[in-house]
Amino acid sequence: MFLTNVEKDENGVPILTKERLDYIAECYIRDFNAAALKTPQEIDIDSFVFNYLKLKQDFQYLSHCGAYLGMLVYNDTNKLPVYDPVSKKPKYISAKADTVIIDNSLLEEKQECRYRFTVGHEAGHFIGHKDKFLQDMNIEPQFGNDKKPVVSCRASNLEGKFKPYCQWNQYDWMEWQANYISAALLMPKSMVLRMLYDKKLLKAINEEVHYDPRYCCEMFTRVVAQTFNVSMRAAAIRLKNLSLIKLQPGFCN
Amino acid sequence: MANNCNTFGEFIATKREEKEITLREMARKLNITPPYLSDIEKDRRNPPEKSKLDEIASILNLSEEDRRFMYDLAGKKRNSVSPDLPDYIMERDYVRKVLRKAMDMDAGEAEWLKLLETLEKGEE
Repeated sequence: MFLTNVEKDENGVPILTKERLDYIAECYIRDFNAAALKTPQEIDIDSFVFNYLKLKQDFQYLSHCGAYLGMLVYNDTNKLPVYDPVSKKPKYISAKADTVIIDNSLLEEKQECRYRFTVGHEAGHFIGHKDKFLQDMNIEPQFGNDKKPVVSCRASNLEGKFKPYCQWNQYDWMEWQANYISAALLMPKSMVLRMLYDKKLLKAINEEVHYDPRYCCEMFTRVVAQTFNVSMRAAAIRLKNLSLIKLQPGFCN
Repeated sequence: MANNCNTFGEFIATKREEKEITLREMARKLNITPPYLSDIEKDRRNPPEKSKLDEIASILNLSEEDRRFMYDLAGKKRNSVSPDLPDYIMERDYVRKVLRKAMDMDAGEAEWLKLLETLEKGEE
């Protein structure tokens, strides 16, 4: 909807800068709930994805070990492989186009932040890549001889762990873009900046950490995470991508 | 639009989406797990018991007509009688007498519609 006149690379992957992705995300949020761009607050990502974007939802075990956390089905299928914990084998289910399938492990306790980010990530694929996936289905199979009409998202990618940049292929780029869109939806740039320039907030943070600059960054990240109801890791990566903090090794692992 | 639905799952999913209630929110209100509700909506599992159906009707603010349509779809999915009827039938000897008489006579649609007409006239 807001992704118009976008240049694509030779593989059909949209070429999008961080600034453009932030802008697109804020257009969507403004259309969905303008109030969310007036005061920093938790975005109701379920309502955004399932009421506003009108995607459908399902819950399955996507693997036996939690390796995959989310999946976007972009074409009707009767042969979608998922894991059956009873038989401990794969089984096939049917799914309709535009369905987000979330791994059941994300419904367990203390997984709400990961759930929210994963839902946002799949929405990112829907917003940015659906045309590309559908085009690919018509041109060539994605995996061997099966034209699986889904994109499956690994936990490692969702956590921001990628192989070295020089080894990225088109799918790595799309995973990165989906991550970025999720973060931009959940933590709109203008709202993060509003928090950064909030003198009262910064004073309270400084007082909390006794004006010790070593802890100021972590405390600000914590406040961002709490405000937007995301994980510390997601908040830290977001702040780094906005060039607001530098991530030290081991920070928020 | 929901009354074009052929299955119970499709019907409650459509009604829920019309009301802009997310699946997780609906599951929370019903005190059931989201995967269970998802399976019901996708007709992978049978509809729940009547008490839960009544809760669904209440949350979705179904009209009486829609509620009965939902009961009928639930009955069809379970290959049994619509769940609002068994108690009524079993608590009244005279209802079972009429049903058995109709069964013995092999009463068709015409006979039953005549009975319905009589009951509706009685309402007036």
